[in-house]
Amino acid sequence: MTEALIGLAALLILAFMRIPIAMVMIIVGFLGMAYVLNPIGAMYNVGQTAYDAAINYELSVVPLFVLMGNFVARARLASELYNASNAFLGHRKGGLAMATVVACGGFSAICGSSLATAATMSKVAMPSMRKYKYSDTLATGSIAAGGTLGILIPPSVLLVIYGILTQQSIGKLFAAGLIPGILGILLYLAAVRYVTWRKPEAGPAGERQDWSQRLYALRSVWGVLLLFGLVMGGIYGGVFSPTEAAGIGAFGAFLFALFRGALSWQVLWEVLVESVETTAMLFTVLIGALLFANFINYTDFPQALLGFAQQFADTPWLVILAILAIYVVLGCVFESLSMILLTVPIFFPLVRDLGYDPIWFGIVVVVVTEISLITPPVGLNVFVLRGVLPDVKTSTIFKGVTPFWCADLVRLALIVAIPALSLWLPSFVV
Amino acid sequence: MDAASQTAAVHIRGLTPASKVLAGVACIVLFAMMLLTFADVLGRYVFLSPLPAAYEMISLMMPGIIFCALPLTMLRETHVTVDLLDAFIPSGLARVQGVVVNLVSAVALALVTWRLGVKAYEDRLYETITDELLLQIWPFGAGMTVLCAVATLAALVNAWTYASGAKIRGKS
Repeated sequence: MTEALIGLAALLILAFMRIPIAMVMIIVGFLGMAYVLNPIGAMYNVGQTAYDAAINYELSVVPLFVLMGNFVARARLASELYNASNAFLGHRKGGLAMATVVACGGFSAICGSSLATAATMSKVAMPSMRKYKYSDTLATGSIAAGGTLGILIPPSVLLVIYGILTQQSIGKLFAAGLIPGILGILLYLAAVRYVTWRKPEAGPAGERQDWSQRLYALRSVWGVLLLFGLVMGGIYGGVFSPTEAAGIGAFGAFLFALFRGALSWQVLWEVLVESVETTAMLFTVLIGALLFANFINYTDFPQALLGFAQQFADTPWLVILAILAIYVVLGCVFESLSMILLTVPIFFPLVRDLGYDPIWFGIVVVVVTEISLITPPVGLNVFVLRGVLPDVKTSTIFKGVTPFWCADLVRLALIVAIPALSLWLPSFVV
Repeated sequence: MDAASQTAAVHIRGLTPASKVLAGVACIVLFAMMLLTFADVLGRYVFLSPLPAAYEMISLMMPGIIFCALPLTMLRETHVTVDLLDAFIPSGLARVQGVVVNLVSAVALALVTWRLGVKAYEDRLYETITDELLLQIWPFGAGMTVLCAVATLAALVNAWTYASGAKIRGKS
């Protein structure tokens, strides 16, 4: 118990000293194991863990999905996605903000990075929202919030990492993320509606487009919709393993970018370098997290925590509530990936032993992480937007994000209260 | 330029291009892995004959991607950090921090390097072979060891360049 707490404290202190989280976890994990187990065992554990994480077929989904995302992000797709959703939604009150939310959801789902989504979409959506005299609060809020949607909507790298840490089926996790992801979009649309209901001048309606214009707008995005359908349908239907789906997705995205004329040798090279760098970074963190988790599991901390939690055996939801509160607080400080890697090894055994579904908990964790991206003081998406739109104040963006943040809390409550939202679809996955 | 930063520049001159070349190798492996997965699926569902040993080839390509790209990520310091306190740290302290951070990283990487080396040595000793292709596994472990050592070196060089003042945080 004490060893684990000291380990956690050391980890937090070292991390705040700006030492890369991965390196901190490797060192603390190793020293911790050497102390609670024995030095020889700890030494072998380091070699074996690094080796097994690297030479691993299942984990090849990570670089392939990262590659797919980077290809799509470079395929100059953002404006087409925005035009398409605008054609369907633009004529409503607050319609351009709604279109932004949907386009952000679609874009970030495939590209997998909420920061890249916020940065890209602001260039596309902001000018047209300004043209129609949307308030800066609503405009920036919808972009910053919309960007967070993609972490959950599959293919999601965070869900892959969660699945690997907890040995859950990645196909099932992807299936579980779909309905909560769509729910997120719907609730964001409701948030836009609420804002324009309170302040109609914040989001005036755009022009109505007829069906021929709508179908025309869809024409330029069908390729990527098809790709998304193929990858996800293949996984859900059990036709492809996640790795196979990721390989097809990456290859499809490559062809897509190629045929759109978006790939010069230079761009191809940049996409590849970006992808391998992200991969190396992710795997270092993963190796660190696995070592740290091994250390925690060798201590009696999981049992102690469970013993403590069992006092609430009649009301296990209190434990869940406490965990969620911890996530919201941590989310104010930590970046999403490191937060998941730090906490999942500690909370996961507890939640599982209390009888909760591991897949459901994965969705809950990722949704809380999404919320942290727009929570002050370190809502990363907000700061990305601030960087791209220097004339908008940070406080304006945070104010604009508030209704969406509330929508996220509603969604979190729904997902926690109704597990079927996450668990119904995975029941069809083989 | 004082003597210290001159030596630092000499260090980097060799390592940066080497890291970029290695990252280039990682890129080629990743692209090949994408084609291989695609060909495997195509073979399985269209021609009803999957590529032999695709599973194992992909597994063995993974460390190539990860460890070949590792030195460059170290040099560029792109690893996930909590940089919340950056605004409150005066530049003098940031320089010390740059040194300490990279020294600690070097220790962590050196530990991994050492243990991967031992693993590779044992695989060679026991002549461990892979399941399908019956390849000796130790050269892969040895490769990971060497690349991880290069990444350790990169962290040390970073520490050195911070110490000499040749590198300042936020400016590459």
